[in-house]
Amino acid sequence: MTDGRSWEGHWRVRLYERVRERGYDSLTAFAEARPTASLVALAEELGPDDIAGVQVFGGLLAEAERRKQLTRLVRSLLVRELAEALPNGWPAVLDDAHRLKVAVALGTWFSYTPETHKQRVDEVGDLLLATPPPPGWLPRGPDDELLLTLLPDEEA
Amino acid sequence: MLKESLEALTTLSALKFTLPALRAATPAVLGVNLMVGPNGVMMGTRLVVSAEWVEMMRQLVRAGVLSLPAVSAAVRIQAGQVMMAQGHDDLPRGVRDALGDAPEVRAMRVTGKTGAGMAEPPRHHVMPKEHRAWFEKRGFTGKMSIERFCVTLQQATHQAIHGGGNWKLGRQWPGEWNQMLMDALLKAESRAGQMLTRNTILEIVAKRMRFYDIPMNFVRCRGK
Repeated sequence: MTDGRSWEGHWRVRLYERVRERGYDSLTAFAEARPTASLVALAEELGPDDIAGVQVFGGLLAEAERRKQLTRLVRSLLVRELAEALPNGWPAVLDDAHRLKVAVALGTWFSYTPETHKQRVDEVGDLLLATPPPPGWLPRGPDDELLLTLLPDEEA
Repeated sequence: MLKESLEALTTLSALKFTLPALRAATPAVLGVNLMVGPNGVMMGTRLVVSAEWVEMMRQLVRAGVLSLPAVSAAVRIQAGQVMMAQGHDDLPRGVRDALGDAPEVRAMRVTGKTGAGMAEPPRHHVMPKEHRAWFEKRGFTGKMSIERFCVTLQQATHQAIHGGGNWKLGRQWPGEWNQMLMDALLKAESRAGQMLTRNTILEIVAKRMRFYDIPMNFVRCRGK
């Protein structure tokens, strides 16, 4: 909810309390159990009035960095954007309306991407537009075959 | 008490004193009746502000968050309260002068990075003013100028938006407000192959605000 209460008090503590209350030991575990939900939806589930999407995002990023699973996180972020923007999967024809939806999804994905991955993410965007995936393609999680080809794990 | 003191800062005229180290052997005289002792600032036998408070203020002054006059004023206001508690209904003129019976209510300036006044939370341009021309070209002019799209933010939110929300991710943090918004807009436009419409931009902005849990209570950026 956008009423500003998410920033009151010790929000990081609150965030992790909510995760643990639901039986997960990490934000990543909680998020991976809901692979196509948007970050805002994850936040709303954890706290409809007092957890913000950006807080969830920060936590996921911090955890991914610690575990050296940033690329996986970046893939999962595209999964979430596509699920929201293209509920019927990749359009068969890229008319203006669909192209805009794809453009906004790719733009948002890019904006979520940490500096270290921005170039690769840009290239993936180029590739998806230049050689479109099969119509109806909608990745269900970061282990989607096509996604793994486009953005393989490179960390040790 | 700290919060009330800071919120009660209503005077600009400052007692000219510096906060001496409390380790001083002899109490330092600050102004009429105010002395610094081992427990804090005293007025006679009454404690005006504690040593811990003074130390906290010293840190804030050193960090550039508060100015010395602001702290002086807080001490003096507190001293005034102590005197009133002692039943001094009518302050002796000399004491009132020393306390700086200053004219109109004007918030003390907080010299922090946001440059915000004490009583006035910072106004944040939702659409970054560095990109004003970009937004103007896409319809944000006149009544829809970016100057109409400010939000007032509590300090904590402001830090979170720009500073990475305390995740200490440094370069990895792409979530700084301006950067993130412009990345999303510019990349979307480049992918779309044509200029974004004002409505599309507003949709993206609205999504961003929801993402940060910032209420869409827009205020003008300049003036009241």
